[in-house]
Amino acid sequence: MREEAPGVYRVVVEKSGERHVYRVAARDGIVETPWGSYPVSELRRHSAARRGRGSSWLVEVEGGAVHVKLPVRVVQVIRGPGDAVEEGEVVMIVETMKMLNEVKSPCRGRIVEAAEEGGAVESGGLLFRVECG
Amino acid sequence: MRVLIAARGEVAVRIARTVRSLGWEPVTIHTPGDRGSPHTRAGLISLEVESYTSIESIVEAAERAEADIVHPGYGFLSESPEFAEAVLDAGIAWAGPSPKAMRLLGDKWEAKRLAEKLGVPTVPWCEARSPEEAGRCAEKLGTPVMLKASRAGGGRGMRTAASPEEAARLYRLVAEEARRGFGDAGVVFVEKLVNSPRHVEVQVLGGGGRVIHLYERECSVQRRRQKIIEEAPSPLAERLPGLRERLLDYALRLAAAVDYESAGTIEFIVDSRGNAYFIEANTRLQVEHGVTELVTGVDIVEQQLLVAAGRGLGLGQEDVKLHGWAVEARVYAEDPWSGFRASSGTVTMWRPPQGMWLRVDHAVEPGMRVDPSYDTLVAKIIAYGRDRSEAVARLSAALRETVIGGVETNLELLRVIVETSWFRRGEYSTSTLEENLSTLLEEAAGRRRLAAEIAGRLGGAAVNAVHVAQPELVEWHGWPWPPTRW
Repeated sequence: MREEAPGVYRVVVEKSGERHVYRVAARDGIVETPWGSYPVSELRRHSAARRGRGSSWLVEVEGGAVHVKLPVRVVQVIRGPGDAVEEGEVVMIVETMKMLNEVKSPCRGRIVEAAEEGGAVESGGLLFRVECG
Repeated sequence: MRVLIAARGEVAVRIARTVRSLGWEPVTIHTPGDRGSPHTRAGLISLEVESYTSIESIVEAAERAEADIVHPGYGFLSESPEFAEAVLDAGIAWAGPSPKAMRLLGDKWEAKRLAEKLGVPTVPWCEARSPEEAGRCAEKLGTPVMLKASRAGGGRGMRTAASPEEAARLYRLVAEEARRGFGDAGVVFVEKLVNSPRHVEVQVLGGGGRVIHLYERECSVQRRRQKIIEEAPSPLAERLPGLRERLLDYALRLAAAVDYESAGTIEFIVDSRGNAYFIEANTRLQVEHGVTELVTGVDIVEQQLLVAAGRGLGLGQEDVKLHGWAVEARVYAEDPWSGFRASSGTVTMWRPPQGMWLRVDHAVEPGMRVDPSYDTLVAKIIAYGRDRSEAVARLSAALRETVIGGVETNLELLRVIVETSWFRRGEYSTSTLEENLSTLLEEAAGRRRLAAEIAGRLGGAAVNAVHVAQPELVEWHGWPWPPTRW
């Protein structure tokens, strides 16, 4: 990702070994691409609910472990260690940049590890881990 | 003059605009649970009613408001002759056709009989009161056939049969569904099935003893009879010589036969050989009236109000000309990936497209709750152009510019549909969308996934970025778009 001008970004996405370059604009929570404009909050919801794993703007998911990409504060832990969760179920509410965000479970399973409520998690830190299955 | 608008949502807002442009006063209504809806601010005041379908309560509100005219919009009671009568009995003018015309044209089978009398072709049909009769009907008409209960609607009380035996078997099912759903049993209509027809309709206006047409619209992009994209004029009528003249003639014949007043629509289906059949009449303003307004320059609601006020039609047939092309896309609050289930939620973000050659009819604002118990239509985005390709290109750009957040909508699907080659060429029938639906949904989901991927790469920048000055761009390929929005 490179910011070419204020609010205008050059983004490289690799898909099946091919590099695709997109120029997009981002402002006020809206991402504008050549094929449509999207509210960031909406994309986050879809990527969590429909893909289950991978990454969103906020978290990186790998094998049931959910790491944050930005420093966040854990506002509420809805499902803690030992709790069973469904795929897409909200596990935590975290605050970043004065915005509250829901973090959903990437799979159906049981929570084995979770950050403390009220605590801060640094960029790259573990938010929670789900034992999938 | 004071006009009570007996509707909610975008149509109430749209009617209120015209009322104001005439220098009159709009008054809206709302149910207790709908107090905060944007349409309640479209009029001078909004009065509370029990429900949008309570005749007594709405007439009482109209009297309380000292309204001179009631405009029913569309949906709810707009096609109820009983409501029209109650309004007229209260000494208030009705911005619609006479209750008599509503009864004659509003009942599907009465209207079909009338059409046959006038020499307007209808889909060959026959009446069945027993399984044996249904079988004989199917044999006579030629299969496949459609079995319909007399008050069928919304897919209920309708079945297709491929053989006379199947028709006899399905008779029982349809009659039973009709008995349970609509309370009338016995009579089932057997109709010849027209395969993959196109849906073309003619807008008519009547008043002061005159009936005129405002040309036709095509609404063939449908899913389960729900219209999604409409345009005026019809690409099919442009292509097939003589079709337009025939449709206009049929529509005027039907409207004149009942001394039609106010705005109405005469709907036809047209098969691949250009045979047109009358299917039904809508005795009210239609959702897609906007495309006709753009290509004729006639404000249909204004004409309805003038006729209701006793001033007659403000124009004659010689004043109506076709100019350019208009295409409308309907944004529905429904989830295309979950079987088009009505979605609910609160609108968190709403950015309608802007600029020339666009008309956006909506009643959406951030913070608005989308109530799945009402119609799921949230906005109509209409683009105008000198010709079809210009209008379609503008619609496509407008859909890409539109942002709605908080509720799931069919916006992404609309973007994909208007870019398909069949839509671009204007070569589609009422079954094209459903035949291609899975591919289109996949394409739409793919685009969204890619956008999500990109948003992921942007990280916090996408949320954070609030800019105060126009950046100077070195390279400019038309993106970002739009260029002047903060």
